Amino acid sequence: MKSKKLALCALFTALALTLSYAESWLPLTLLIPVPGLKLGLANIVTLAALYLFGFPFAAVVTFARCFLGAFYASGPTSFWFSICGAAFSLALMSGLKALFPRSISLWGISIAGAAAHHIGQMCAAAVLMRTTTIFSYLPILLLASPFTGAITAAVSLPVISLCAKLRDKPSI
Amino acid sequence: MTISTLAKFGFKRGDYLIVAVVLLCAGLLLLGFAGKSVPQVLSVSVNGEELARYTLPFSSEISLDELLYPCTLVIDGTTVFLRDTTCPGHDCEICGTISQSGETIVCLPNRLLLTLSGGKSNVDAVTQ
Repeated sequence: MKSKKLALCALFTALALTLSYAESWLPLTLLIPVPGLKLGLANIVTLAALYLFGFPFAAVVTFARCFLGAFYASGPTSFWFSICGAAFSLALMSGLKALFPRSISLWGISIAGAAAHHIGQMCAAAVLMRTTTIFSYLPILLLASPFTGAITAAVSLPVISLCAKLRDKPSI
Repeated sequence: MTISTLAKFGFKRGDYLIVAVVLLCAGLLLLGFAGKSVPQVLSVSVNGEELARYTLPFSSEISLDELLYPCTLVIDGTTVFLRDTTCPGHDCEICGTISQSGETIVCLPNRLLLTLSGGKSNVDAVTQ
């Protein structure tokens, strides 16, 4: 069981890394020129990890994704940004999921996660640049998060239901 | 998209609440930032090369002695002007003060250009 989880963890991390890399091919900022705006495709993996295997598994996958992404591609500044966004997002998503399992569905969790991700990244930027003027971008990012969050949720829903069936099979 | 269509996709009451809270936060922040302007930046360039940038508000008197016709750059809070010019035309002194984003002071004999950027502009756009 332990080795199965380890393998799944590696698989999820690889998927998240691939998705965040693939996202750079979708330049959403060309359409809406706001720094930091993106679909958050890697959040599909975080959501799936959270729903299928719970918070600790999702936390490990998210941290590994941020660390490896920064290590191989984007550098230490980007690690700081992505880990802050991911930590805010994961904390809020798992908190909401645990506190309101009946009244909030995957849609709400995903939208809240997208919003928290932006807030986390803005906080990271504010600390790094020692200015609060950066927060003037936050309203636009927050306005976009219901849309980006809904897109992530729409993709996550079938992925999670399919993976749940596979997870519960004793053969794998 | 109506609420009943969203419900078909599995939208729950809490989800609407989350969307409402996110949009409310965005709206409140937008209102909060609407009145506030980003700081203005004064750019000083000679011969098309930027020599210095000052973030306003800032107060100082800077002697530009290395210019062909030395003068004094006065930054008083958010207003900027040139004083004690030694150039023949004194155009830059006549130009007076600048305080709005997009305004410039040009001293052609010195090839000196002072530009204010950032902040809230009184005009929507300037064609050049």
